[in-house]
Amino acid sequence: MKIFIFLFLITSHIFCQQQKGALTGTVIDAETKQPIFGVNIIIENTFLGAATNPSGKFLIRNIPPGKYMIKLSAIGYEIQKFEVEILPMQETNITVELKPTTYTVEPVVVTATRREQILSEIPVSTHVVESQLISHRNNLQIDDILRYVPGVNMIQYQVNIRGSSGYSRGTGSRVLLLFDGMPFLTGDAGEIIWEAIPVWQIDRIEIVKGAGSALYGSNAIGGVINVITKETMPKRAFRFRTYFGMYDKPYYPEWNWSQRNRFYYGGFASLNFSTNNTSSLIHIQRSIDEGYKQNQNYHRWNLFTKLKYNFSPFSNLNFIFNYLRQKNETFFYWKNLRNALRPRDEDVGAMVNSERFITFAQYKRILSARLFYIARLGFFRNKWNDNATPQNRSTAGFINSEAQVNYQPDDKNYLIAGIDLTYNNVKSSLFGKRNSHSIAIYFQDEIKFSENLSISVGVRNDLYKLDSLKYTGQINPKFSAIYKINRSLNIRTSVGTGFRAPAISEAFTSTTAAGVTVKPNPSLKPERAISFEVGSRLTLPYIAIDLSTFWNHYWNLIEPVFDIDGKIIFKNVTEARIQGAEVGVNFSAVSFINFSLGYTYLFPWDLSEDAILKYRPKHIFYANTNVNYKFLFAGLDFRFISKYERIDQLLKVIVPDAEERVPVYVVDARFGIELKKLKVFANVNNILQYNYVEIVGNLAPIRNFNLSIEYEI
Amino acid sequence: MRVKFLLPLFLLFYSCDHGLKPPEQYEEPGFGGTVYFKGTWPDSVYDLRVVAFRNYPPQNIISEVIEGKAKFSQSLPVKVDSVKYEVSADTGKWEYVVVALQYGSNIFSDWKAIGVYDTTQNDTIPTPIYIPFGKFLRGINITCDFNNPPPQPFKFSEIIGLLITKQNESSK
Repeated sequence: MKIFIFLFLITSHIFCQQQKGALTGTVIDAETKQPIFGVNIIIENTFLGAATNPSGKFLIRNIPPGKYMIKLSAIGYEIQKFEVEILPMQETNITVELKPTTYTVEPVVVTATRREQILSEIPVSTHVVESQLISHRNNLQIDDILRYVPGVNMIQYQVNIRGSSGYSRGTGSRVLLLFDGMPFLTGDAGEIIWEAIPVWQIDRIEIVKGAGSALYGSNAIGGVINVITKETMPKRAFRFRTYFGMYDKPYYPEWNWSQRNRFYYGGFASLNFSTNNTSSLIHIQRSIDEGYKQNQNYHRWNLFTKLKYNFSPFSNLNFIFNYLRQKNETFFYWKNLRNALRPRDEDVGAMVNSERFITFAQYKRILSARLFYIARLGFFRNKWNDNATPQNRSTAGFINSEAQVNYQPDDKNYLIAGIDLTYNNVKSSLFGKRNSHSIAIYFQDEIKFSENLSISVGVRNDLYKLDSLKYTGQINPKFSAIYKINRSLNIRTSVGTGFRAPAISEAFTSTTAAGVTVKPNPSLKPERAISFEVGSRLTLPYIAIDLSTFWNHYWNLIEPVFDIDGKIIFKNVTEARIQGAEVGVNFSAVSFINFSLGYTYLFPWDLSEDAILKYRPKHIFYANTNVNYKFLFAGLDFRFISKYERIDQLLKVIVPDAEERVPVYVVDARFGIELKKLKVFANVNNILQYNYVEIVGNLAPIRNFNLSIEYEI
Repeated sequence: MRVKFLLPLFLLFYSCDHGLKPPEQYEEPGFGGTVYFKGTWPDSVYDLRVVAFRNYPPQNIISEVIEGKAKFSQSLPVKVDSVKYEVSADTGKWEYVVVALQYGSNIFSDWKAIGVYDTTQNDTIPTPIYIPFGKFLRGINITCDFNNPPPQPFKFSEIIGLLITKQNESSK
C-alpha cells in the first residue's frame, strides 16, 4: 500500500509540471562589478537550483508559480537571501551583487545527513577541509591533510576519529571512507588506500565524527570521511603542477644511512573540456619518493577521469574512473632505535606491486521541485603482490550499488530513503577464495518543528553474509536535534549506533610473517558501538566557536591476540568506552589573517582489561594560522598529540625498542604567491626537526622542504 | 624591538628538544658463548658453525634462509674439546640456535645438527634466546654429544648448505 502511495506521489508531481515559470539572472561582485563564476543559487525548500557559468549567468526552469526564498552562496562572498515571486509561463530575471566577505563563509556539507546543509545547521560534529588549504600545504596524500583535523589523529596509515580505531595493522578500518559518496575500502583487508585519491582534484573533505551506521552501514563505527572531488567545469582549461622536495639529513648522525640527500618529486596535468551537454576532466599524476628511510621508496601513477552528461536541467549522469599503479618498497619496522631509519635485516628488499581502480556511474534526476533520486553503481578492484617467499598476492573485487530518494512532502519534513547492495569477491594466498555480500535499507526524516528547532530520526537495517557463514543482521537507529537559540548560537545533540562487520582478512588470514603465525577465526562477530554527543556552535562575523562533549561505547572490538598454541588470532576481546570533549575556534580579527585551533580531550578506557586503551592519546591539539595579503600568502601549522600510554604485547615481541615513544610536537610552515593563473608554493614540514613515531618502530617524516608551481591555461 | 620579536622564535627553534634520540650506550647486538664437544669426533669434518633461526619448529626455515634471515658464526676449529664463538644477530627473539656440522663434500646435502641450545633437560625443545636492544648476549653455551645427537630438523642439511652457499656468494 505504501508503495502505491509513494508511486502516486511521484507520478502526481510529474504530471503536475504545467504552467511553470523560470528564474534567470546574473551574479556580479559588488566591488569590482565583475561576473562571479560558480555561485550556488538554491530555491529553498525545493530541490531546484543552479550554479553560475563563467559569465556569472544562471537559469532555473520548471519552477511552480509562487513566492520563494532564493539563497546565493559562493566561497569568499557573503551568503545572500531574498524573496522572489515566480509567475506562470514567465521568466523572472534578476541581477544580484554579492559582497566579498571579510570572514570565512560556512561550508556546505552533504555527508552528515545525506543532503546539502551549511555547517551550522548540522546536528553532529563535522569538520570540512577545503581545497585551497590542501593546495597551499602541497599535501601529497589525504592522510597528510587529516593530520590537522581537530579530533583526528593518524597512526601511520590508520585514521582515528576521537580515538575510534587504535592500530590494527591495516586490517578493518573503523572509519568509513567515501569517494564522492562511494565506499572506498578494499575488499580483502578492509583498509583505506590513501594514495589512490588524487588530492589536487579534491573540492573538499567532510569528516563526520561519531557512529554513523544509521546512514552508512558497516565501518562507520567511529565516523565517516567523504572525499568530494571538484565539479567538471563547463569550459576548456588546462592545469598542471610540478613539485620537487628534499628530505633534510637526520638530526642525529647515527641515523644517517644514505650517502646523499633523498628527494621526492612529481606533478600532474589535467584537462577540462566540454560540449553542449557534456563536461569532462582528465587528470594524470606521477609521484616518486626516494624515502627518508631505507627501503621505503615508491613510484606511483594516478589517472582520474570524470565525465558529466546533462540529459536536461533536471537529470545528469556522472561517471568516474580512478586508477592507481604503484611499486613501493616496504618498511615494516626499524632495526632498532640506534638504526631508526634502517629496516630489520630480514625486511631489506621487501616490495609490493599494486594496481587499484575504482569506477562508478551516478545518475541524478529531479522529478519535481520536491522530489529527486540518485542511483549509483560502482566497482572497486584491488590487486597486489609482494616479493616474499612464498609470494603473497591478493585480488579483490567490490561491487556497490545504491539508490536514494529525497522527498519533501511539505515545508516541515524532509524524507530520505534508500537501498544499498554490495558484493565482494576475494582471491588471495593469505585469505583463500572468499566472498561476502550485503543488503541494506535506510530511512531518515528531518522534521522542522519551528524556525528554531529541527530533529532528525533515522534507521538502517543491514543484512550481510561473510563467505560460508550465516547471515547476520544489524539494525542501527539514530536521533539528532538542533535548536537555534538566536541567529548566532545553536545547541545540538545526537545519538546513534554503529557496527563493523569483520573484514575477510580478520576472519580468514592464514600466514606466517616476521616470525609470527596468524591463524583464521571464522566465528568473529561484528563490532558494535553507540555514540552520544551534545554540542553548541557560536557563529559571529569574526569568530566561530564549536564546543562538544561525547561518549562512545564499543563492544566486541576485534584485536589480534596470542592463542593458547602461540599463534595469533583475531578475536572479539575488547569492550571499551571513550569519553571526551572538544573545542574548535576559528578567528579572523582582520580580513587577511585567519587563526584556528582545535583541542580534544579523550578518556579512552578498556573495560575488559580495566586499563587505558591501546594506541589512544589523551590530548590532541592543533593550531594554524593563515595570512593572505593580495597575491601573497603564508601559513603555520602546529600539532600536539600526547604519547599513547599502552601498546600491545605482540608488537613488543616483534619490534625492537617498541616502547620508545614520545609526545608529538610538529610545526609546518608555508608561503607563496597566488596569481590568477600562476601559483607558487613553498613548504617546510617538521621545521623543528622533531623525531617521533606514530606507530612503534617507525620514525615519522623528518624535516623536509618542497617547492611546487601550478599554472592554468 | 626587532630583537624582542625574534627572541621567541630563537627560543622556539633552539630550546625545544628533538624527541627521540639514539641511545648513547650501545653495542652491536648478537650472542656468543662456548661450544663443548663430547664423544668421538667423526673422521671427516668439512665445516662447523653455530646457526640461529628466528622460528622453531623449522617448517619455515627454508624461506628464512632464502630471505637471509638466519644468522651464523665463522667456521669453528674442529677436533677440540671446546671453542668460543660469536654470532652477529638482530635484537629480538631467536628460537633455534644449533651447531651444524658438514660431514661430506656436498655443501647442499651433507649437514647435520650436532648440538642445540637447550637449557631444559626434560624435553628436546630448543630454548629460545632474546637479544635486548644494543646488547651482545653472552653465555649461550652449547654441548655437542657426537654419541647422542639431537633430533634432526626437516631438510636440515639442504638448508644449512643453502645458507653457507649464500654467504660464500655474497662474500665474493
